[in-house]
Amino acid sequence: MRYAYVQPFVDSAQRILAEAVPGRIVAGDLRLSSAALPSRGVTAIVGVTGEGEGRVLFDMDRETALRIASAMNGEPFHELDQLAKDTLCELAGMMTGKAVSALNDGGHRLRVTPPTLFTGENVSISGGELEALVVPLETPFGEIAVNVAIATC
Amino acid sequence: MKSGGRRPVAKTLRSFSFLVVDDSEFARRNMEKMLVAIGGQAAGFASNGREAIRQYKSLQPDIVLMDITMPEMEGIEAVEGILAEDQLAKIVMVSSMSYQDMVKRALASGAKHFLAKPVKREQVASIVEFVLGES
Repeated sequence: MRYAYVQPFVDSAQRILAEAVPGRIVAGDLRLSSAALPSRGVTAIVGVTGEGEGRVLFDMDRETALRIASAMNGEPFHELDQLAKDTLCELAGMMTGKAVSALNDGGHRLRVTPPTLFTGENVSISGGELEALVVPLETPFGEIAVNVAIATC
Repeated sequence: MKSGGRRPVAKTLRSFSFLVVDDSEFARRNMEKMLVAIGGQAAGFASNGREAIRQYKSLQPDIVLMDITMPEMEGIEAVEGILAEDQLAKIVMVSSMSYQDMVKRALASGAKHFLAKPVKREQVASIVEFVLGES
């Protein structure tokens, strides 16, 4: 795991969330995770390719996901319908896009895949052989875990 | 290819038509809200580059707001396709991938401007005004 890859994703997620939802976004302590983690219910995943290979996950519970989708669309969502899911994918795309742009402007060569959203309580998140670095972001709508696992090729 | 005799009258923000191209429904709706709020009228929407070229030919909007990363055909290729049909087409790229090389590639393809996501209404207003005001 390249530690240099991690902070831009956390900074970018913090900045984009601050524009998307009202209130303060506070980053918690970074921790290393090599074991599979249970999903909180809603997980957006973005693949990273190029000089580094891996993925970035944004993991949250259903209530948090619905509140964020509602805030971003300016209308209440009570179900994770197609538009709500699409909104969360776009949010994940903006957070990773901004981070990868910052890394590439610093001399790295990374690309991202389109975001995909998984839902379900009984899903576990594994980085395969990759260790993941996880940073919780506390938002007024609930916590989002930013989980980064990227290895240098 | 057209010779470019269109648009003899300068557009104002009170009257312009737009085509929004993005594979995200949220992004299309969000951009539509901002453009309508500054006086635009939706000519159409597309979710990939190929559809964008087809829509552009039939709708002839005053301005196109184009995402880059999309399935089937990406935005930069679509810009080239649209400009091959109409060299006066006014296209603004809108993407979360905003590193320098990407911005340069987008502008080299013929896009008039580049907006980094997330976009704000004030930014959209000033860039649309600038692009539509170009001679």
